[in-house]
Amino acid sequence: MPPNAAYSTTVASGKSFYRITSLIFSAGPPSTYPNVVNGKGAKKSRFGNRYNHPGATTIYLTEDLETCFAEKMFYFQRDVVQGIDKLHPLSAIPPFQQTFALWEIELLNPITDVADLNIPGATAFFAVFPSLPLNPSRDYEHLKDARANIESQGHNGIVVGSSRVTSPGNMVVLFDDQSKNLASITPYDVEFRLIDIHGAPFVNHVIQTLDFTTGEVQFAGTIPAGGAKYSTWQRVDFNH
Amino acid sequence: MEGISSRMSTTYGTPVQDFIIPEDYNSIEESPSSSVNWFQERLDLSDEYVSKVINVREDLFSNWKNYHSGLTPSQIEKVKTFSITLTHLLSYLNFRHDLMMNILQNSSESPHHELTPLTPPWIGTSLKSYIESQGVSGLEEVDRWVQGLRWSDPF
Repeated sequence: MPPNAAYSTTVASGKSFYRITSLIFSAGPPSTYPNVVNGKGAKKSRFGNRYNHPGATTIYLTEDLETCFAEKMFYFQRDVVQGIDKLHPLSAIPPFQQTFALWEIELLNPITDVADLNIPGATAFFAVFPSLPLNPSRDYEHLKDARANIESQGHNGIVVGSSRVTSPGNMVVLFDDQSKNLASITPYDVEFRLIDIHGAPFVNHVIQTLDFTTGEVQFAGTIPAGGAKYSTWQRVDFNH
Repeated sequence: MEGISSRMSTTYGTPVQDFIIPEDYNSIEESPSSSVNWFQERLDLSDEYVSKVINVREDLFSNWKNYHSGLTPSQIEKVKTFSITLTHLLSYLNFRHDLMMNILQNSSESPHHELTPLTPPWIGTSLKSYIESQGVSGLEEVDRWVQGLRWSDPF
């Protein structure tokens, strides 16, 4: 089945996209940086991710910094809270302030035939229940199945609204290895920290109450274009 | 050592903690001997320990690390499983050496209730002892646990 042009868009070359990974991906030489967009992490995952079953090459990008931060803040906070819940058997909680690698990515060639679920009628056409992409609290098998269905129709990816960012922002989900389709890829150290319900840094899980809808972010060193406001700690609201 | 990075926390404004960050996730595939050696050095894991986990003779394992021969492909896959599992745990702990050592060495309490999918599989013992006693199947259980904790939907 050919891809449906009416519900498709093109992911542009020469435009910045963003992704956050652990520091392991930026610790090596620059020749290893393209691995960030080879999609192997999703392929090898045991449980899959929001828009992929295990075994499916997938690259998750965002169109703007705010969406990238909100998506990561959700998982960062969840990791910490899971650690607090498991403190006694674990003997360790993930740090309440962590550093990650933010990647600014420009594609060399545009990617055509990307299903755009924001186009009116697209969710109906692709048989995606429109409520499920919007729920921030968990992933659904339905969305993984929908991706497989969309890919089988010849599409190369999905553009879909992020469920975690509080203002409109898109995720770009690509189905193929992009490590050889890069105009540039640059890492930046970015710090995340949790805050309590009074806005103070969350440093003591015994006495402080976590704010479940906000964290803070700042760049630790160099700052990407458009990221100047994050030269100091800035609030990042997210849906939980 | 090639392929290795180690950062001090002063970079991040938090007090006196060592960060240990394996350089390049793909090095586990491309250079499994240097990768496992890196974990052994940082986490104080002897050849005797690792060889027991992957169920090969210690002299064969040590020889393979030095001369890159002596292990079968399936045994090398077990070494990779060892490194991948520890990498996933380190990532969960944001590469904090002290936290990783806590998890490896401290014995957890015995369960007082029904276990759930999110209960660490080494409950009632230490991670280090659990992996030693369970071998590669134990490593796979630990990896399943940490990935499940982070990426599955347990709720």
